[in-house]
Amino acid sequence: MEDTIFVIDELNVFYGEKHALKDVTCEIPRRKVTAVVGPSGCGKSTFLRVLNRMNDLIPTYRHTGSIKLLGKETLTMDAVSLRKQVGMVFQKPNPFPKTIQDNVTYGPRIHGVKNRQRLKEIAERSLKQAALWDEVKDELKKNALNLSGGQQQRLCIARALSVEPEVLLLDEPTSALDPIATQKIEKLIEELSERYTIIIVTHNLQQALRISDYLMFFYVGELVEFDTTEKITTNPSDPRTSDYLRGIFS
Amino acid sequence: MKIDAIVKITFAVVSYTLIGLIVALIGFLIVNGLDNIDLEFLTAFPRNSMTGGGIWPALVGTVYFVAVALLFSIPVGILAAVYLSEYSKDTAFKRLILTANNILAGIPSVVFGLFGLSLFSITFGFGTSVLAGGLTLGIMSLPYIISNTHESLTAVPYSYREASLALGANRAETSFRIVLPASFSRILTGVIIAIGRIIGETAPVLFTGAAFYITRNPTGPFEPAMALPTHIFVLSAVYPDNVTPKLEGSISLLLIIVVVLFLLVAIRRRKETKKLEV
Ligand SMILES: Nc1ncnc2c1ncn2[C@@H]1O[C@H](COP(=O)(O)OP(=O)(O)OP(=O)(O)O)[C@@H](O)[C@H]1O
Ligand SMILES: [Mg+2]
Repeated sequence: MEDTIFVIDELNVFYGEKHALKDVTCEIPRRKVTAVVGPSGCGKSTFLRVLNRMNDLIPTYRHTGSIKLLGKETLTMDAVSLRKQVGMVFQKPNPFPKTIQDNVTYGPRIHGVKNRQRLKEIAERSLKQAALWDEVKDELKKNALNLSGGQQQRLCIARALSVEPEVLLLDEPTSALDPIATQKIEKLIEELSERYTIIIVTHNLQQALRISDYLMFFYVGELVEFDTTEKITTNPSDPRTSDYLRGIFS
Repeated sequence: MKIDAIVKITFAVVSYTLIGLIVALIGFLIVNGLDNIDLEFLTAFPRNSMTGGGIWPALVGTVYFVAVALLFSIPVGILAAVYLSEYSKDTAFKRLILTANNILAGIPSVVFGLFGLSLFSITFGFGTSVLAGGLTLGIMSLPYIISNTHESLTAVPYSYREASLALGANRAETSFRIVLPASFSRILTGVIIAIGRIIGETAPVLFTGAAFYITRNPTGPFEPAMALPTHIFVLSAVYPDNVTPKLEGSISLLLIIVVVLFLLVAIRRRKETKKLEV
């Protein structure tokens, strides 16, 4: 039990008539990096956004089945407390138009931390974890929008870490970044996987192979294959997976 | 190509002539009255049936009216706009409300004046007072504040809301701590425009809050006050003789205030577009 973070059972997701995820059943290991891959439109983002219920806001959205986070059903629990435990980083860096400091203390403050010293400590810890501290420690009061794209994305990671989540969801976090910034984030993800469960959607198969311990391959809403990255890359059990790995559809 | 050039020149001539006329008119009115504006004009009460003295109570009264109006229209307008943009679903009813609001924003101010007279002065019994006049002006500016704030809020990228919700914030925290601050600058610009309009309006206060002439400033919200535009109206309509210097001075001053406010808006708008370009 300790090694499994999410137990997902017969998960089905619909947008109106559109059946976006079909009977997804799997167990996601804790404190590992799981990469979610598959052709465009196969449901990767949908899957990720079910895990912290970000899709609840879409009027046509519906789900059935069960997702347990450390034994607790998430699909019926309070979405606010779920999102505190399951943080998310988006494709396009989206820091708040506030100071760097405010970006990483907003989360703790809405969850009730008032002590200024404590907030400072949280800011420092999160920025250090996101490997951004050294670059910004002297300009915490500067507007976050002045940072470079890569720095902004690391700030978004720091912001997600500031509320000490159990899981970090990343939806194509490097697709808007240059290779050097991408490299930094990949390195960061490896470091973070010691303390956090990381689930990352990526279009970049090489990236998935570099950083992930486990690989989930979706195809038109179906979870086709889910295994260690090594097993899948050396010996995929489904022909669609091997086609995808050979770059036949992407 | 030739036609294009002709059309372009014609439009340019017409529009620059019009703009030139307006600027000349405003400039003339400001310069014409400038001589009459001195310290006494600004700080003294009117004397000798308003042919002498200054307009101090009209300035004070205008500040009071604007303050009451904003105290009403800013909180109500912002809350309404937050509800419309952050809480309500996008239904036909909501679009109806927005359309109705836009129509209200275009209704002549005299209608608001009569409405205020009937509701605040008579029904609520506020009489002719700072409170009744200010609330009437507040109601008048409310549709504008709502529509400007609503537009400012909807211009805030959805990704900010997503980021906030993903941290476990609820809708209220997201609306008031992320979305509103992010649109603060635009909302403020709208408020300045509203002030410009409130300051210049005669009809709403004329019915509900304006005194022709007072010898001491109001000490509470239930007393009447003078206001700059109504003072101009009174001077021009009721005292046709010997008030020309006062009248010209008052017009000049009112125009200066309004022009300054709108320049402020223009500067802010410019900064905003620059920010977007970066
Ligand atoms: N809000 C929505 N309303 C209706 N259909 C949607 C909505 N969001 C996604 N879909 C559909 O659900 C399917 C899965 O979409 P999703 O965004 O999860 O794919 P994805 O694998 O993340 O694709 P990409 O790689 O392009 O990001 C697609 O067919 C998409 O058109
Ligand atoms: Mg996607």
